[in-house]
Amino acid sequence: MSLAFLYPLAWLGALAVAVPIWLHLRRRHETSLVRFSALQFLDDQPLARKRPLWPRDWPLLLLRLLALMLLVAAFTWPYLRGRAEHAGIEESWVYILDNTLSNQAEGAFQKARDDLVREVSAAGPERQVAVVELAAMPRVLAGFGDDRAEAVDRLRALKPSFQRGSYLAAFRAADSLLRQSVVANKRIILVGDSQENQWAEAGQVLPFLENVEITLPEVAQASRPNVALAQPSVQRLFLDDRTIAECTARLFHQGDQKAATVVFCAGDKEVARREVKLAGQPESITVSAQWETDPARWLQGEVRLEGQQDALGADDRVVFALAPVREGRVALLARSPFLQAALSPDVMKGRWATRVLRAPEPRTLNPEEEVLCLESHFLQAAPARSLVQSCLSSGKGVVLVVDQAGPTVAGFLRELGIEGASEAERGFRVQGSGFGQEGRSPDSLVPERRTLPLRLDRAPRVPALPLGRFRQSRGNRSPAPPPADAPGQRAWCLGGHAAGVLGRGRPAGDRVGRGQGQGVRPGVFDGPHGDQLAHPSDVYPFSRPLPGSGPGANQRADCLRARREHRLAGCAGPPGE
Amino acid sequence: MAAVRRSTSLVSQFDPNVLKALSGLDLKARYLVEGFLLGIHESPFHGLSVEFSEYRDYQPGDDLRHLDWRLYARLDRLYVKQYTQETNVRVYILCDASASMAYRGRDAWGSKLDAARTVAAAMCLMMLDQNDAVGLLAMSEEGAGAEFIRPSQKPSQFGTILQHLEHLKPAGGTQLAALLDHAIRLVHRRSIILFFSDFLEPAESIATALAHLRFLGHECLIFHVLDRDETEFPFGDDAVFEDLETGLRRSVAPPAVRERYLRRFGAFMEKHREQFRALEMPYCPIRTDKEPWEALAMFLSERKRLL
Repeated sequence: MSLAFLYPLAWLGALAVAVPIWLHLRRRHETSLVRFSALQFLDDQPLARKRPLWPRDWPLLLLRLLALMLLVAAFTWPYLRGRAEHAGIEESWVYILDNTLSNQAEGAFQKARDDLVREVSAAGPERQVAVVELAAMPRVLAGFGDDRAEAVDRLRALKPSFQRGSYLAAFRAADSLLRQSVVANKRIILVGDSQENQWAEAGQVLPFLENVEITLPEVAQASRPNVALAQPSVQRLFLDDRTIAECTARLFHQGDQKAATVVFCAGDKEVARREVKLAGQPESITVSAQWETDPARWLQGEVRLEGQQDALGADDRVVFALAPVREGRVALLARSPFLQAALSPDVMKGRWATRVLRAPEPRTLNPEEEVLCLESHFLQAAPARSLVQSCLSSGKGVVLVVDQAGPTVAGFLRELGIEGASEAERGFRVQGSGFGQEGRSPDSLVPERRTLPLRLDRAPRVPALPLGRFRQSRGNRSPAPPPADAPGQRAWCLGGHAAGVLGRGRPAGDRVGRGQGQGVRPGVFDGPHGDQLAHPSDVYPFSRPLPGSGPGANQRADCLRARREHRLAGCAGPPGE
Repeated sequence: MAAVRRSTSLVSQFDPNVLKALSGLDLKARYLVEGFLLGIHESPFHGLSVEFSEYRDYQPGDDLRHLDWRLYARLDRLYVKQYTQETNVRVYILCDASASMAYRGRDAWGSKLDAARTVAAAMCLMMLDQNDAVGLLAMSEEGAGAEFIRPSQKPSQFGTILQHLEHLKPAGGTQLAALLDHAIRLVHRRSIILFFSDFLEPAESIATALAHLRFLGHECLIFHVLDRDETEFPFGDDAVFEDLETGLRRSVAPPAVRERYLRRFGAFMEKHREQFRALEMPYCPIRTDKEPWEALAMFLSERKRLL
């Protein structure tokens, strides 16, 4: 090991040591001032102020010189050179081995790996080699200081990965390796298929490669085109007495393929087949199919490409699954005609089978009814409160639509363990309330999502307190569907600003409400009561997107469904429709 | 006169660091007094105010407590003991607060003014404990007038004098003659005058005033406060010396001038001492780097002699 300097010319800065020496020699010896009381007994003796010819304060001078020398030494960037056999290194190469899914086609990865093993083994002592593996994230497989044999062993032990990674991230990792190298000749070699989409990276990145040569592979024209399926989505639509399953998938194509055949299978049966022309079409095409299905059964199937012999066979098939659903039984206690219309069986078909109650009585709920939905002002009557109590005690759900609440309602909620806060303490008078009352209509749309001003002070008898989207027009006061660009929250509230689920009746088995599926890996829904069943929010009249589904995945279908529902309810459409 | 003998342990009881650490003049004075009283064997106060004078025949109405019962048992006659009347002494503290009194050497526990007012406060405390009246006369700045506190033997007098002593700020130049003139005009009854100063003014300038004081019958006790730097001039390096009173500066190489300085300084102070001897004024030097017991001892011995 020997010490070397990256910038030896910086040693010229050592000339600066002349400065403290000059200062020490130039500094006059300052006589001290003594304030004295008996000056009358002293004669004045003018003292010559001479410059010293020799430094007086040697420790201080040496300390200053040492500090300067250390500063200069730091600027020369000293480093320890390696052993004698590494002294002759002339170039530093970093290989980036593409181990992403795209490079697995036709054994490209194995071939690249074997080539790289040979190249690393054959590299001479004048070249130091490092390897970065690119899978989902770049990983330094072998650094400059690692033993060659170990690096080769690690390379041979690499398994193909089916992930997607960014080339730029790998180049950053390689660049950080090269920054540790003091050799002038630096190079990064990409071993992969250099797909264009893997070069794209979100966000602005600063240029980071400097004095580094880049070697990219020559992208050979694909010998065979590739067609891939992705993003499957399935959902149920309830039309009249029929239940329609609607399945969509995205089809990506690359190359000169003219057409593709997409087959939709539900269970073991083929339910639809689509011939898709690819020539002249964009790279991404949405294919869809609809077929009638039984909502009480699991819907499982796949979408596959038929008769394709493309470059990558693994992406020619996607699968989907959808849990069974059944209608929930709901008893509705509401005076608002809008709420009755909105929750009528025609509108809520497939989700709720609503029975409208005329008056609150303790035994008015049928045994099969699972949820009681009522307006809050009914709670002023003792029978309604006892009805709610009996529902909660028997494990049934209660959906309370809070419009206005007086002290009686607030006190009842407090007995249930729900304490009114802020607006609630002021009588639940939410700003913009008064739906269904003459002259009390809100001035404008209230499209934003609000938090119900309630808080719990004991055991969570309330599993969820969501607030739906509320929309009301001044002219016809008809409930309107949410805007088509509503992000994610497609739920909307009919007839109130705030609603809370006071309790819930857990469904016996199947899911209550509208079914909604997404593309999943096979085997997720193995049993009839999978992990997506009986979610607490399912008893709520609003559907919310399940985790993982993108905001735009089912947007169009939702919009269509909402329009259908309005027509069924006999209401006018939203303004401008 | 009872002789005041100091024990050998007295010096060892004095710790300049303690005096430095004590912040208030009150504490410093009590530290000095108590330390001093611990070191002496014979109390100078014993019998001062209860001195027996003579017997006289008992007269109806006399206080029976003063009857000498032993004499009655022996002679069968009633006699009353009479004592000498207690005499209160008036003591004036004259303190020089010129700028030169601000000097504090490297080894000193305080400036010259600190030493002067500490010793003065200690004496004030002792005098008030003996029911003597103590007053103060000081003058810090030229033309600012003298600070005068009438003598009193009230216990609160100690606090009053302490307050004025603490507020004394060293400033101004020559003022000894003016201070003595004030004393001549303000002190009428025969009194004891404790004069604290560094006497860095010519002896001739105060000779007349001192003689006048003696003529008036006052007893003057001279406390000459000096620093070790003034008496020994121990400086080594070349330096510019600035006069505390006038601001005049002189460049001095101390090794070269030390001998001449000491000679001049000694001659100057000798003139003062001769003058004090001639006027029969007890003289006590106080060094700021040494213990102030000597001053207290001299004061007490003079006090005994005068009474």
